[in-house]
Amino acid sequence: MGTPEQGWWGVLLGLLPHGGRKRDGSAAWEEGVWRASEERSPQVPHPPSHPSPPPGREPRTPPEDRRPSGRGLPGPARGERPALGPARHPAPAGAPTTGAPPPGPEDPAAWADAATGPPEPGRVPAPSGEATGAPWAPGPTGPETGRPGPGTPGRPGHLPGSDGPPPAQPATDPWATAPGNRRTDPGRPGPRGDLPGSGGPGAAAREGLPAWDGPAGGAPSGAGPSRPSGAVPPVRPPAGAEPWEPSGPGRWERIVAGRPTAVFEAKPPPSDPYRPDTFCDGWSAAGLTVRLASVRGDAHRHAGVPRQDDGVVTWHRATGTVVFAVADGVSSAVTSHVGSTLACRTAVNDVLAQLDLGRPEPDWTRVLAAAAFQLVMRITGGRQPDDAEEMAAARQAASRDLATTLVAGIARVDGSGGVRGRLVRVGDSSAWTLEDGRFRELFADGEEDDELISTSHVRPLPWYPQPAEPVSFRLPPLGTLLVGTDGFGVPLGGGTGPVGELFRVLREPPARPGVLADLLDFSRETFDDDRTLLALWPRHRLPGGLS
Amino acid sequence: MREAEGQLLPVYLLADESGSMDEYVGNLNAGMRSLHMALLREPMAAAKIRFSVLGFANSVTERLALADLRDEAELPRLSAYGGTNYEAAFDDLRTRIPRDVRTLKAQGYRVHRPAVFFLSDGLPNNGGDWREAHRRLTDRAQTPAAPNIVSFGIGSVDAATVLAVATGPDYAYVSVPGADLGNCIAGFFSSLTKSVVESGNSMVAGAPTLTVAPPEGFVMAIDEV
Repeated sequence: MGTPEQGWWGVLLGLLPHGGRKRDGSAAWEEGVWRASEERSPQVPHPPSHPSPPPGREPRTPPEDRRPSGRGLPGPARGERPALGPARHPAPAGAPTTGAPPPGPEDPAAWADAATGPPEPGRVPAPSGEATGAPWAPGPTGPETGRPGPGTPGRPGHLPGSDGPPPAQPATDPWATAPGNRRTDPGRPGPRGDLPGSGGPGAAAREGLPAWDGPAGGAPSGAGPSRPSGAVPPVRPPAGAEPWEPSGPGRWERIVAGRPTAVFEAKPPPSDPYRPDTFCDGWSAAGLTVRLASVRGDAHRHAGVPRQDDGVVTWHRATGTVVFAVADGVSSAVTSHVGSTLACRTAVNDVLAQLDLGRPEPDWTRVLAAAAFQLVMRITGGRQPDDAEEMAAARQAASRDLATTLVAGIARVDGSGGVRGRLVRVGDSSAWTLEDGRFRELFADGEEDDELISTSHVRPLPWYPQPAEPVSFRLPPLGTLLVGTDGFGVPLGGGTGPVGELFRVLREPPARPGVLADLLDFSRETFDDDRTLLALWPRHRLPGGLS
Repeated sequence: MREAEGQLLPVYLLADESGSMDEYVGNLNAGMRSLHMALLREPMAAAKIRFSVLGFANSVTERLALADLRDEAELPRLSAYGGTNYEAAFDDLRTRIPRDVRTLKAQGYRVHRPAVFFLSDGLPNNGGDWREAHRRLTDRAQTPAAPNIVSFGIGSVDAATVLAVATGPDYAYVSVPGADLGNCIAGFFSSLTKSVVESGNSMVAGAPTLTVAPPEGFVMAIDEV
């Protein structure tokens, strides 16, 4: 690395042409170089092998709307702390286009490369039409039946719910922006199973995870294809529906599970960085529907402490993959809300970058290493630690100030109408499947059953297991995937009580993302931690045949 | 795994009721009232606390057991009599705490490691080897529900003894030499109240279960040894 100004920030801001190169100018991402480095440092667990992109293949630059929310944040000036968005910036032409392996602590240069993800700098726009594949065409059985849909068959024009106004469409619904598909009625449901499909870098069969083959053999895209506008009649409120009344019984009441907690008005959190009390998100992409919400816990509302949880969910269009992360900043770390945000965004960006490279599956150790390194870089202000001692000190400071749990994962539809995916975690955030009314924890270790005394001890980032130990899941067509922090997991327990009863409603997606936030903000005495929950379904589960 | 009814922190006030405390019984009871009032103003924290009050002299007297202070009209009154028997106090806790934890678990609660706030004004002068009883109580291999003990010594107490009672050097305080004991007792209850509230508020958020607010009018016992 050159001058301090040309160090990590140079890579971060894409100012240096050498991208992921080490101090001696060699390419850090070359397998042989990496392995040699590892052999010199036996104390560092060896990462799994890192598949290189196929020869001659350039990683793609995704369209801007494929990026998670943090990626659009402006980069900080040199010498300042990095903004909350993880490092992923374009670089000049000629920058390396292959991914760097996960770094080891003894190799700060390599760490930086991993933290910034494989060289987004080198990503080049996909040729027009490549990512979107073949023009839209209905599947063999037509757009309405192309996707297996047990339980909730679609009915064009059917109202999404019968007891109120039609739900708002997710803002990022592919149909909302598809050329030739401008809606005049935002509440109108579209047909199901009619999204186009394609191959793309990840379309080949993958070990353990389904390749995207589309619900009807088409490519997931909202860019290229079109379908006749006006094919579905506009939705109107059902006859006899109750008009909305602000004074209706229980209209503004908080959902209560068991004995409610005390009622009070929340105190504001510190103003910088801005941290909303609650956020929610949700959309449907080809084959999958997601809802995400994060709410500040009552303890933090009462104390004027920011929400320390965070979450990110995004869509990798080329491979038809939902990429997500959920994190819970550790309370004893003074700025853990910053840590959880950095961890989520960095992990998701690194997964996206690896998918761009056409890797059959992300290297999960690298994903965790990238998130951990981002926390360390926050401490150093983006400057590469000069030696192992300084790196150790920076890690210790990151543990003190930014410690956070993390669950990151991917999900894709499989050929049978279900969903397959993989998850990895650090700390006690977790994931569940909801099938036939039963919750099954995917990371279950059985410890809590035997413990007389419950502990809140977690081993969070920047520590991470090496190698990472991802778990796989397979969601049946009628199943739900839930990924959440312990603010949700602890009150849920085994899901046999009032909280389980409450969340069993997620057997199908709520029509609006805000519904999940409202649900997640349930009141239950002594359970006052922040709560974050991602819920994911096969898209055919949208209520009322909405698609 | 069943769904938890709630998350609780059992807190025990283990107060010296030996005869030497007679002059300060009024301060003790005033401190109890202020603790009660403070927790009533903190219903979210109070919901997570189950509070027990034990007085010890020659033996242990249970004044309050596993109470939800929001449901109590008033707290019991302490008194002063007899000697100072640490062994009886620790033996009682070794039986009582595991039993209480099992009771709460059976009611469906998640139970965090119990906390004992120990207050004494002098050296033990009654009973046998209290150190062995203390070791059995605090050894987590022998007593899985072993509590954290925060120890406060006032008056003519020996700093080394206060330090030995606490389960960590950060949990041991002695009053400033020459300080008014009434004020020291008020400082103790102020620290107890803050500690209970802060521990209740933070115990589910990944922070250490027990937060101890340094008492006014006290110094760390380890600094006096």
